[in-house]
Amino acid sequence: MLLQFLFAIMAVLGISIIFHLPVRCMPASVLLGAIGWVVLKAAENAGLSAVLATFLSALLIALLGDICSRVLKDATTLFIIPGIIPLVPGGGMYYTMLYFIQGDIASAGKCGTDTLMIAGAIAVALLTMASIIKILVNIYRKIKNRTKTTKGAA
Amino acid sequence: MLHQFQKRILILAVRAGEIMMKSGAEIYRVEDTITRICKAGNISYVDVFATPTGIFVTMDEGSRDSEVFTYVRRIKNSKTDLTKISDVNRFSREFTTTDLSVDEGMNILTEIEKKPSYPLWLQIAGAAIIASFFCGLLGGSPKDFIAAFVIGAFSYSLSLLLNLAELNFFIRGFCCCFFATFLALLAAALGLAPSYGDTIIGVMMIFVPGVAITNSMRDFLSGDMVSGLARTAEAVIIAFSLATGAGLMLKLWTMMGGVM
Repeated sequence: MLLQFLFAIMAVLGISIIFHLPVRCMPASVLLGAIGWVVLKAAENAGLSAVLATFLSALLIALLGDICSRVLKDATTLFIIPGIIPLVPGGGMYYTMLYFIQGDIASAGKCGTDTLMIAGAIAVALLTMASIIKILVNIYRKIKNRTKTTKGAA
Repeated sequence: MLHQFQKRILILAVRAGEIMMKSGAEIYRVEDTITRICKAGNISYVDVFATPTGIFVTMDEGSRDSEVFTYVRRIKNSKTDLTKISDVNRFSREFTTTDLSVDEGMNILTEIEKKPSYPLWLQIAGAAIIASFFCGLLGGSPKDFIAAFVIGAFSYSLSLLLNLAELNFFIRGFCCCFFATFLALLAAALGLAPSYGDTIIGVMMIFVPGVAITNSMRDFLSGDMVSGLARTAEAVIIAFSLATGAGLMLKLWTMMGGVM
């Protein structure tokens, strides 16, 4: 698992280089991406399906990315994009095509569906976490405003 | 005179939005930036509609006999550049909180736009690292690792070259994957990449549409349906181009009598 973590760090570092990530954001983004990958693998090893494991990992990346953007005061995408790319099912795309070419339509269909589901899981995870964060921020603001107004009344 | 000032603020705001959109920012961020800059220039009514292919801004000074200005900006050739998004974001905050003049603002934006990406060799090395380490993560052997490193570097260079020729992203993804698969199969035939599948997937990871997926979902979330759909379509098309590129080469290889 440690080897996976180190390899993931290097891979995400490469991603942040080709997308020209500012150097000051690199440590956080790279660590985030590597954590996302390790969580994905750990969840798969624990017997979860690939779809569910991707979902959990993407949720975690979206959450940590949002925290990083608030702490480091920079755009959220800077932290989420390098983390999400390793989850994109490149392998699924390849194997779907391979089975298709080998004439194994049943396997191609199964693999293609899995790939689509994994991509969908990433999308739904991003939506879910962003919505949760929005709700939490709204609640926090309301509470803050209320305490302010009550203070003013007193 | 006032009109002149309005016009310059508008141009500045649209320029900032354009740089952001070209670098692959979300829609609400672009719209926010433009509105914020216009408001900082004391323009009371601003409305922005941004899509990945164009920005439309209309503004009014707010007095009874003022004219409405509209600016339409077509956006072409986007390339993801996270530093530019971050820089323009900072600039818009700076512009609203301090009293920078419009000309100074223009200069800063020009500087941001001209800011080069990381040097070419580092980008190619980055792509090679992506390919090789993903190959390793997926279980490739050390031989595959080295093969993916070399092939990743070559196919990313090809992608940069095709980018110069201003080809669209479908052809670019297709050609790069086609080429990468060919090299991987060649390496496999020479015994340099025993499990060539992992090598090909590693190289494919350089081109996967992660940015498009992330941005499309964030656009949907903020209610920008048009852009969300457009970027979802982009993600699907990129995925298809990569798969067909690899698939066509595999098919040709077997048809030519190559062993898989």
